[in-house]
Amino acid sequence: MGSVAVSNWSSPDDVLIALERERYVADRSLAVTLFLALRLGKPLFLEGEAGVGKTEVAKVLCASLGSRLIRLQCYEGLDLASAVYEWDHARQILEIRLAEAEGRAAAARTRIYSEEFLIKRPLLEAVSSADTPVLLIDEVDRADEEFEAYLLELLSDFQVTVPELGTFKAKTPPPVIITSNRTREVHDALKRRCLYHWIDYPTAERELAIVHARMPDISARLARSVVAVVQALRGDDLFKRPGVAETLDWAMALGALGAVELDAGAIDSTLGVLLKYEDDIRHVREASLPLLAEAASGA
Amino acid sequence: MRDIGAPDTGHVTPNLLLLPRLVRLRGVGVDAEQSRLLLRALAEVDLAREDDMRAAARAVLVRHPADIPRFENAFDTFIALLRGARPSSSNLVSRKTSRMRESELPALVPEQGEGRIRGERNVRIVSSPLEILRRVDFAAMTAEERTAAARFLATLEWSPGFRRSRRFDRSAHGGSLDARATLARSRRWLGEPLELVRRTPRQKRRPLVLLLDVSGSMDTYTRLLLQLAHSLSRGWGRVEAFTFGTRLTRVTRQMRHRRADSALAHVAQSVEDWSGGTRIGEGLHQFNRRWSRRVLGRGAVVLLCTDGWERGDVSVLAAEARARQRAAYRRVWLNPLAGTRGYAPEGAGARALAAAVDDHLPANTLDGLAAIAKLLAKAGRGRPVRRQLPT
Repeated sequence: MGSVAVSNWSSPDDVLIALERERYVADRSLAVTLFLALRLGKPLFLEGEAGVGKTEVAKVLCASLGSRLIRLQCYEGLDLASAVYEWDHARQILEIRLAEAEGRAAAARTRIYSEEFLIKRPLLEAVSSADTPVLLIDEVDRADEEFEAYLLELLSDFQVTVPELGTFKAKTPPPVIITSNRTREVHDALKRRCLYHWIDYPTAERELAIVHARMPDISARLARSVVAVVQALRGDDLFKRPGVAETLDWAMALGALGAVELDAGAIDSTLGVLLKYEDDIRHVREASLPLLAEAASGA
Repeated sequence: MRDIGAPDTGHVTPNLLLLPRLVRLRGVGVDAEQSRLLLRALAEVDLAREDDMRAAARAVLVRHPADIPRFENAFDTFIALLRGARPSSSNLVSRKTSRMRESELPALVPEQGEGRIRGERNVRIVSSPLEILRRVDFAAMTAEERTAAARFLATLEWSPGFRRSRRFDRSAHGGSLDARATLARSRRWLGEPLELVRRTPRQKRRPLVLLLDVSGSMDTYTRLLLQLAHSLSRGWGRVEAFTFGTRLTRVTRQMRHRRADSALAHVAQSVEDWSGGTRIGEGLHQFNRRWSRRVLGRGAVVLLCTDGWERGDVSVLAAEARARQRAAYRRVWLNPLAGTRGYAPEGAGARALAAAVDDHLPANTLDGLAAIAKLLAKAGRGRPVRRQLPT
């Protein structure tokens, strides 16, 4: 990798320290994988349940490299015009009209296909940018196979061809992070071009560290209770288990309510922050509320 | 943290290529490019740190979360070998040889015990012409007839229909105006929109999800249904297959084998609850929890093949059948019993299932299956009005 900041990282420990400085508590295997992705110039494919901090990895990486984040949110039907580039048709037509009025229509023929009339979307932006940005391709599982096939081409050469204009090629391939929530299996051909990392729910110890890192003002006791309850909930038979994002939201909500300690009442009234399905909420209210309160007070 | 210790790191490099081999032996596909990349990756980390080495190797060699335990096992073996353990046969034995031979297939179809035969065919003909065969209950078929039936199944055209995707195709007439393309086209005419470009939504195949009951009461139908699942997987492509008896097993990958026999052998190897009890509710529960989000998107059509004999808690079955009922585009229940004369879903489990599906169809004869194939082709467009059941 060509960027100065990246080459400053000589071992996974440096990555861990850099992430911690940005208040991201990673486990070591993520740090190793991230380190390798940067060193080998390979895209990093991150999978995991919703809310475990996949997108956050890209943001934090950007912050610690001091580079720009270019984010492409995927959705079904995402096409080249929204992902790569598009000609600014309206301005081109205005230019034609103007040129006609000024009697220089012949010159306009080539002029309207200059970079000035090209709207760069995230992927072209990442490839043609003068600095080395971090490219985040978020929730690639939401895009369809057609888009995946296009990504294959981009990720192997880091170049984009605009037929009317020519080829843009990245001087140094930008660090690329691809995330997936597994709402469908992404094709192996795409994974083959990447390093793979599965982000699991954190251990209690690490989750506590995350809560403290993100919310320095929280009382140690409340933080311990919050983590104990969330960890207990993840062991429960739920349709959607709470992620780290929910833990942080919940801690924030409890803070806003001025809660000092967690009892069954406080858990019950804020359950909607942690659980997003009616079935899950009902299940917890009926079956596990006393157990959770116990976990909270025991922590 | 366990360290290999400094004196041992000298062993690591010459033996590195053993690792992809160990991983491969555990059934995780590793290609040459990955092996090359592994060498580059390991050159970047401190080999004295086992956890770093492990993370680096995992990032390169693993592509599915389901492969992680197999990788970890291979890596443990690798480390043990580096520490001087002798390679034992259990470490290095090839999966090929440990694979179950087809002759060891669990008896999917019990040999023709007379008591088992349903329907009124007591006179046995060695093999029947297809026209007759098509109306024969699978339970009453001879082995040869089943083979003929399987061949017939492979010829059926299965298609769970199409849905509109969010992508568009140019269309000469009809469809809606594509303003962006019209504007782009008008550059040719000095900015006058002389040509109007129209577009229509592209049609996409619907994903198909198969849930097959492999419990004891379904024995006589299981093999044919699996064969059906195989020909569906081969023909349609976007098919997810699961089996359940007392627990849910995903068999999608096994179904991708080209030959039906070897696909079925692989399924037999991975399914542990053949011919056991039926807990449909539990199977659906596991499916709803672990898989529904992943496979029910994009307008999927679900085929549930079971006889509805629930031996577990019927209230669980009712609740699970209702949960996520709107997540799939259409839910079809293929019931072998429904084809027998005078059948009505009267068991508590069958009633609960019948209330929660869009279609309830007999699946005990080839004619029944052919009718289903026809229905499916139409299923992609419009479905019966659903009554929303309280969850």
